Amino acid sequence: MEMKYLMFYLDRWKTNSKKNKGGNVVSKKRLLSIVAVMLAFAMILTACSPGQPAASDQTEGAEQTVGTVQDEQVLRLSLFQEPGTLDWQRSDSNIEIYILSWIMEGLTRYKHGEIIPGLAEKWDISEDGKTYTFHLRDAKWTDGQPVTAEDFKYGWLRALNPEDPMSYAYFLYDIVGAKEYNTGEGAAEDVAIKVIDDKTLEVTLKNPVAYFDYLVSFSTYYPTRKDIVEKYGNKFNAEAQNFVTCGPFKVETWEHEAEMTFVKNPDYWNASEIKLEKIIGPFISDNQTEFNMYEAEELDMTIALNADQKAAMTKGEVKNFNDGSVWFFDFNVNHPVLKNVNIRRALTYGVDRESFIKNVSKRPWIPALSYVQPDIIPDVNTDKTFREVGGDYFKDNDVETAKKLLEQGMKELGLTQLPKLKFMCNDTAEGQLYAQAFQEMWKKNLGIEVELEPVPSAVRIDRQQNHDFDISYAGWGPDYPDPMTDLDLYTSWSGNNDPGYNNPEYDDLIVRAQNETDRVKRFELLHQAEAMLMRDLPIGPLYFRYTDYAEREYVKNVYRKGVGVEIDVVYAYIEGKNK
Amino acid sequence: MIKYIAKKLFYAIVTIWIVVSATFFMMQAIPGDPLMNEKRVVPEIKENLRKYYGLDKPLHEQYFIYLKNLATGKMGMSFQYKNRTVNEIIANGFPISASLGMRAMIVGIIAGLLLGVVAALNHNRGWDRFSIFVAIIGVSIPGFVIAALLQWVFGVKLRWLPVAQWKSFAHTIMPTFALSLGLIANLARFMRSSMLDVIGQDYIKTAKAKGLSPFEIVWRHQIRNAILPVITILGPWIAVIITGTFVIETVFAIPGLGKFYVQSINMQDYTLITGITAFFGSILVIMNMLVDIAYGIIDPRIRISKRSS
Repeated sequence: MEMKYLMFYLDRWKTNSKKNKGGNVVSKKRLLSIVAVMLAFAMILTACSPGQPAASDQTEGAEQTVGTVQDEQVLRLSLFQEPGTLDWQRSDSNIEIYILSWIMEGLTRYKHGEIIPGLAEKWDISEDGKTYTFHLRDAKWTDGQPVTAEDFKYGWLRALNPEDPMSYAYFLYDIVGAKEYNTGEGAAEDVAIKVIDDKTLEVTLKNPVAYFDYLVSFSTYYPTRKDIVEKYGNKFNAEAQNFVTCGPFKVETWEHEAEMTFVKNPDYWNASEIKLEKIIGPFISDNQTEFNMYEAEELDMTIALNADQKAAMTKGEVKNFNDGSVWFFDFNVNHPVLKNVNIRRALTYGVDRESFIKNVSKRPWIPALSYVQPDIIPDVNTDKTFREVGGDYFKDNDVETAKKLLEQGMKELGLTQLPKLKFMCNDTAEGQLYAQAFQEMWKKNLGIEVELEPVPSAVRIDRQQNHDFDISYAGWGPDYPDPMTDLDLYTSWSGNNDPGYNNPEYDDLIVRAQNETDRVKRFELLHQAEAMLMRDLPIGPLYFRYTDYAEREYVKNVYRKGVGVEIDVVYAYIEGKNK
Repeated sequence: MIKYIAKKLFYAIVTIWIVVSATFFMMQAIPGDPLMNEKRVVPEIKENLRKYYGLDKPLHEQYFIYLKNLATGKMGMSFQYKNRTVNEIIANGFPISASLGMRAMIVGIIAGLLLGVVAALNHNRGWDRFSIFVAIIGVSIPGFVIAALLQWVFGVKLRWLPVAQWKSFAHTIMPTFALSLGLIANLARFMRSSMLDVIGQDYIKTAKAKGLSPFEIVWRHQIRNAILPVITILGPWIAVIITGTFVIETVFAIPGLGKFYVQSINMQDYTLITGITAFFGSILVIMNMLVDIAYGIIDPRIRISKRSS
């Protein structure tokens, strides 16, 4: 009986290895040796049994090192996981947005963190900063049709259609009439998107939005073909053969849950600047598997690298990039104790970020003594970043000041002893470890006892939104490289204002900045807003997060930044791989 | 027999209904909903989305709509994969999981039985000890450790096999071995003790006395008799292997169904949670039913006792 199965199985081997002639053909003989070695390996594991007949097979197997391409312009990187959707108006997650940026283009596009003209050759801005007129260049869809202003209008109205809701529709709310249409209080005709002619698009905004050229690079703002959407319906962009795009690369294959591949789009208007011929993107969700594939030369770079992997790495080099996120304590400002600003200050000043990063997280992070991220957000008044101009607002590990503030705060509240505060964090191993570190610091430095409340991340988000917490361990990542993406969170009407901060003065600063057309004055207002936030501390900043990753030396020009497009491979190329 | 099968079938449907209903109401008890995102959706948009997905209806209404669709085989759109139905996701992933499971079953059965037989025939000698080692390893080291070790040794260090993914036959070797190791270990142990029992029986002595060749004794008398009790433990093992692929599939980046168990709950993808549960529930119930029926056919004693009762 067993023999029959064995023969059946051997037959399967034969047909399978024939089928995969191009790939890893494994001969029956080698297979048997592999099986034998696997069994031997099982014995070696226990270290109980002496010499195995594996040694002679090793030389034979070693020759089978996977042969890679000869100086071909092919980049292999993990795409982490199957994108939820590549319908660009519907997509709302990081990975979707960077894949889309390879195959599509908006009026503008990011190149290495800067915004450059995309499908719009140039644009005029009216005196009051509210009307943008975009002049489109001659660009083609992959089916040969020209990209027209009508395609943009259709795509934008599609994003706003209340009958088919898209979660990122609010990205268009700066356009006159957009919010009204999206919330069912207005009509599509009243949205101020005007097609002047095939190549000219005019948009009117409610306020002068200083970062509108960033916004239009975003996937929600991509042009969309009405005929294609109608042809595929719910399968729009759902399979490789359904895509009609106009970006630097085209989707070649999409095996669901397994892998996507992309090839250069020869009809892209700027194709001469695109050097990569192909991108191979397997979906590898396990970080260690990704690292092993990198070490086995099956991938050219990794998405991330942890401390152990960094130590074990033998190929290429370690790089790091600002992933854009800032992490902080959310203080519930309506809590009977945390409503006192001096208590919040004491809790913020009295922790040692430097030591936390060095001894607990062990990642290349930097202490946050302010709110808006360094590196990624420029200050338009100077050639410096917003952070460099703004500087720090307090000192790290300032226990002396913190103690005094705590005493003062308790006096103001009429308390002799603080009631036990609750500190909500993620229930992951990492989440609890980090929270425990700060719990310990508060106890040691200030004598404040807090109780940890580890909860699943979905619960944490839910409770933060409902202001159902004392202190919460939270973070934020920017949508576009302008300080407004961070600062408008704490207006009294913001849906992301978890601490419940409500300061009319702060609201006023933000509104004035939103309406300011003078860029110099606008940035002054934004710096004032940040200073006010750092004075009142509804949030207690902790650190800015950076991510390590590995990259082979022959990979050139891959750009990573935590805002806009997180992995920008459009201008990448391969050089010196076969030295 | 037909009445017996019909009864089993009725119980199977009731079981699946209970599983689906329990899942449906329990997942609603998890805080949050499938539309949750770290970045808050504007409340008005969220309201529209809830309406679009029918989440604004009262729970019992949602439940009946779901049951009605399920009865016609429609499991709905996934929340997480916005262009794919749950049916499509299962149709895409299950053949791969099943293929991996089948390969592991075949390897596991062959290797396990062989090891067990060889061990019993070489009682207390080298091969016996070897098979005990394998059994101890297989039982005590969890699959993900084996998987990670295999990947490191054969994928990264020796470069004999691709590290991960599911493309050619070479890609299937390590996951198959990692998944089957537990089965190999259990079967080897079980077969060994079953064989040792048989070897001591009087009819083996009789066979020897008749002058049968040693091969015939082993093949016709020892293995045939020893294998019957072993077959009974295979039923539960099929379930373990088909449902136990989560770790192996993740480590080897195999596009099967296993990962959806955990992921769908983390993402609170309601339709995917209930769909996957209903699907696996059905598989398990059907497997058990088939095993029950198979017992009846294979073993006359069971058949007779069922009739008399």
